[in-house]
Amino acid sequence: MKAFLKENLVLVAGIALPLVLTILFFAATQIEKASTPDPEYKVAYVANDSYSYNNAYQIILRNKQVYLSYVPPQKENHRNNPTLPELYVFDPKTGQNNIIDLPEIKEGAEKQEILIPELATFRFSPNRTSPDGYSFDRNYRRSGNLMTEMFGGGYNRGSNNLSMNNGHKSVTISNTPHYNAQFIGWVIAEKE
Amino acid sequence: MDKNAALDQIVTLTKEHNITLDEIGARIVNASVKDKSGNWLVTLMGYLGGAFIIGGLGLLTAMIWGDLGSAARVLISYGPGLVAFILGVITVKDIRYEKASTPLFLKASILLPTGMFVFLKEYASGDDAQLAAIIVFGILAFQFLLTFAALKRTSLLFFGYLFFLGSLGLIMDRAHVPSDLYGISLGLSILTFAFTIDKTKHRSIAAFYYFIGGLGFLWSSFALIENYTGIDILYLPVAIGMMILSVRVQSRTLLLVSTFSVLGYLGYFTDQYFADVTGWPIALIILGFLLIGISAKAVKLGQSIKKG
Repeated sequence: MKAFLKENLVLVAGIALPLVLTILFFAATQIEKASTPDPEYKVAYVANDSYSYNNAYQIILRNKQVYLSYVPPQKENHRNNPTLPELYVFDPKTGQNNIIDLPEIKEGAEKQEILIPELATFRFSPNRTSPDGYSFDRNYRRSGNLMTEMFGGGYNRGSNNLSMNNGHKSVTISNTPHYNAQFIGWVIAEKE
Repeated sequence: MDKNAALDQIVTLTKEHNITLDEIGARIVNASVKDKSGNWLVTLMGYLGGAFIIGGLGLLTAMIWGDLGSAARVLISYGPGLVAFILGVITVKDIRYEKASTPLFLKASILLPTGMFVFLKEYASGDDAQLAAIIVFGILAFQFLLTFAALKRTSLLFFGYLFFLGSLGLIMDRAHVPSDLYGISLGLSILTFAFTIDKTKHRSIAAFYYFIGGLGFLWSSFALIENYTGIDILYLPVAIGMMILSVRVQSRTLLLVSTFSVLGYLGYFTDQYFADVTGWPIALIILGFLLIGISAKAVKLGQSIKKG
């Protein structure tokens, strides 16, 4: 064994280098994770894969409250197929991810904005970062290069996370991939 | 000389040189195969036939996939891989069929991971594809490298190291190693492997790993240095150093990669610092001379490597 190590010192050093780096960065990440407080603020988001900005139904934030907005689709626009959004509120303390009931709007109704009753007592912040420093994002791969593309595996589960410190500390919201999930706001107050 | 005299002579020679019956048989089979290899049409038809059989089996599997249960899915994907691997090991031990071992190991290296992923998908809970890939590639690296330790076949080393890299790369990604550092360290690691292998009888795979390692190291080094305006000139000694190394280790593949890297860098540098000045056309001319000079030097170095 000793003779093999002596004969193949270059190979041993070459194989040890990435292993040592891995151990160092793994330890650093774990320490950073342990020293970062858990997220506290609930987050509201829309998760339909077919939801888009030109949909007849939109979830909007106005005066710190969440509304369902409806703009009747133009008749000549045959491609416009209104889809009711799926609105969720995720509580990182309990891990609950609740879908919110939306008010009914009859077909042919006029343009309107309705306060969502279930969230009427909530107050939201539209800031991208929560008051405790977390952000809502997809589990995208961090920026890579040729080597990470070849050997890093193109890691993309499509889950939505609350993350901090460049993704080193993150809480998974939902493992079901929502490729078009859109952030609405942080719940900064709940009046009962 | 009549037949009996010839046989007597063969017996005398076999005793004299300690030749076994198996070795004589293998030589006769190999010679007959060699004779047939001149017929390129037969070889071509053989490859085409093989491709059709594999393609047909794959298509049939895809068509009936929905009707198969979990166990059948694992058997149909992992089973042929395992059989190919075992056959590969058997053929290595029989010199009459040892040429078949490499294609069999190639087939095993594709089907075994496929079968293992199918197994994990069918029986394991969770959705962590990265962890699954680390486990699969890790197990296969052990399997191939341990078999290599016993049989000393180059193809086993090639695939075993490739699986090792797949597993190690994913572990590094999971440990949040920054991408540039990731590429530089993994590139260097692959280069040291190629350098070591190049001095053994398995040197036929060294060129591939020199290419991957050199490309990864230089690419990642540039990505790191590029972010710091002013010190990006430091990339030039790195790339030239790689050219010198390629001559030292007598690798034309590494020379090719490092030469293209220097040429690409010179293009980047002139574009970055001289594109908007009046001296740009002159810079282009200078760059042209540099390109010609470097190409000529690279060709000379390549020739010296060939001679060496």
